[in-house]
Amino acid sequence: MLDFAAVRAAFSELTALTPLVQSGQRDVFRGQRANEEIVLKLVRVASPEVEARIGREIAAVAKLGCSYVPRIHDYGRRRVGQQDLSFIVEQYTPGETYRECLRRQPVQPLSDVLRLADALLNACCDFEAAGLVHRDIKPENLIIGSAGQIWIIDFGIVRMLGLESITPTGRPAGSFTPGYGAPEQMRNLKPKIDARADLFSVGIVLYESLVGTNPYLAGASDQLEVMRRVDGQDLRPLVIAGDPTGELSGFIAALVSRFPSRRPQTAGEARQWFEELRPRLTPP
Amino acid sequence: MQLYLQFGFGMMDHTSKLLEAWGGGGVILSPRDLEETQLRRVAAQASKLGAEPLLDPQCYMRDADHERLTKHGYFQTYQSSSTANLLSGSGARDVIARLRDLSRSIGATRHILPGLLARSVDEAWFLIHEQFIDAATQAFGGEQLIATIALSDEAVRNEGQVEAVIERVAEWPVAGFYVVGEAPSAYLVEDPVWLANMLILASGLKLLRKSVIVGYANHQMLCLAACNIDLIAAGTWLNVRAFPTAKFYASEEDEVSRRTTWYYCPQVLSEYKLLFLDIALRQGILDQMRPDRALGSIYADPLFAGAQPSTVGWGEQGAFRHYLTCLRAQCQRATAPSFADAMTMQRQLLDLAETRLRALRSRGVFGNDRDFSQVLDTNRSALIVFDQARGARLRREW
Repeated sequence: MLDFAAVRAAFSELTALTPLVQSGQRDVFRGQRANEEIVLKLVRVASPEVEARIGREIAAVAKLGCSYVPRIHDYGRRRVGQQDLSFIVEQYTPGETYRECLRRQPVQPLSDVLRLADALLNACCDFEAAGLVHRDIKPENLIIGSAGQIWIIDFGIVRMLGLESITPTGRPAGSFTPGYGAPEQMRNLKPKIDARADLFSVGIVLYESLVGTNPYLAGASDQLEVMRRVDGQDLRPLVIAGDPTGELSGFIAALVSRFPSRRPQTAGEARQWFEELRPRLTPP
Repeated sequence: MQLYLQFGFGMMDHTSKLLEAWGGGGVILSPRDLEETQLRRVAAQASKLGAEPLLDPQCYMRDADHERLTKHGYFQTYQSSSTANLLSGSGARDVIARLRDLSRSIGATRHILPGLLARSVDEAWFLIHEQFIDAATQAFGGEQLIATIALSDEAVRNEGQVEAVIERVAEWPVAGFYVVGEAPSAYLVEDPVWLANMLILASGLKLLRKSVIVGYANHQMLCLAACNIDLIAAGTWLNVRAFPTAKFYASEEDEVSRRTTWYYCPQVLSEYKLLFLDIALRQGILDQMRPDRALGSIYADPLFAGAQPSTVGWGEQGAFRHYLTCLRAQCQRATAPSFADAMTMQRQLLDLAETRLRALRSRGVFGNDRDFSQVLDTNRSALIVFDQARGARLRREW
């Protein structure tokens, strides 16, 4: 447990600091920087791998300039009491996770799902332009603001295309969240992991939003079964009220294809596809 | 989708006559069936008739021992190169240097590169192909290269392997792909997985914006028009309408010993022995088997001139030319302006064939093992699976 007074002393430029989350590896505080509400994240580095990962997360997000990702105001390493800690000061994004929204209302209205799709696809385009793959898009990592703003958080397993991987290439399984990670990500097929992996996850989130459950997680006895389903089963095509031509269903089916060649090949292509079909949708 | 001739045994005269009648087209030449001087002669004839000559190097089997194939210089270099040399690039450069001379000497402007038949797709298989491509990029300058993708029936049946091919070859600096899938049977394929994966493979390659040729095809592969590929190639005997590896070995006899004359009835996608046309005549339904005049084949006219079909002296020459002329027209007809239209045409083709086949069979007219009734559902199933896999993209990117 960190000494709160030491935190305040180390970050004297921040005011009104209050603890939000405290865990073994990570402490999160809410506070103010000048007149803006911020979040301070402090991370204890357990290994060089974790340190490298954090460094990437920060560097990737700091250069993104994506309106769906909290802005980073400051980052680095600082002495807090007796410990050297990595820190990030970022925009505070009040709201609830999309997981909480889904718990309250498992099947979301089509108009809300379309708004979410629009945000996620735009964000994926920004990620693609910055040469990064988020690799962990899921309801837990989406924040829905009280005014409907959408943020994507947690770049903890981001992959920077063109940089050497942190996780060992020979490892049979990569970093992923079962039920949301793309098959190629699950199987650690690194050369195949690009924007199409994020598009898969976006597709699963949209699918789940429209049917009320994650099709891979529902009724699965364990994670191995989830992985078997992701790797071996095509999802049932959706029948969506308000999608008279079936184009949205086809689009989502393409996003959640098991094989990257069957998905849109870039985030830009996916966004364009979505923009083309959207005028033909008639949300109830 | 166009049809090219897949050159095979005894096709020299057919090739010149058909290309002349068609006023163009193309032929994929077979070193297994032609010596070097013959290759040049047939290619020159084709070019003169406005058709494109392509050379299939037929490097599918490293241990092929077919006498004529193994006499070709590039093939000897290929066989004498160790696998290590092919993988390191020096062997590939030697093979390509000799192949370049041959391919250019026949007047080809697009060059099919050597390809091994993959029993299973693995890294070594990819690397050898990439060495051939590297060597050919140097050797052929800016001329168009067509990479061969030859897969065993087991590899075609494996969805993961098919997708692995598509992912990897997306980076290959070639103008197109020449796809050869080992058939799981001698002719018509009953396996919907194999056929669905061929559709998925061909369409996946086409979505890379490259030209796609599927070799060793037959009328069952008309469904490839739903992939919007450029052309299929078919020939006379069955071993150029499906891909049997045995034909590259000395023990394989050419088909002269198994001659039976088959009449291709295009509207039912089936072939019939002439004795069943006699039955059709007796039952008063022979006219239902007459080909649509618009398909352009006059070769089967004697069968419908009023005499008993088996007595009019109609033989393999007419049968082959009729088959290929009809198939060529059917390829062109199956070409559609959109994926939805192409799929509709395929479904209609099958439905219409089924109705007519039922009528013929109810009157005692059967196509034996070339009756399409046995594979109608294979094609339907494959098209449904294919649509689920690629339909959404193809609807946008036709």
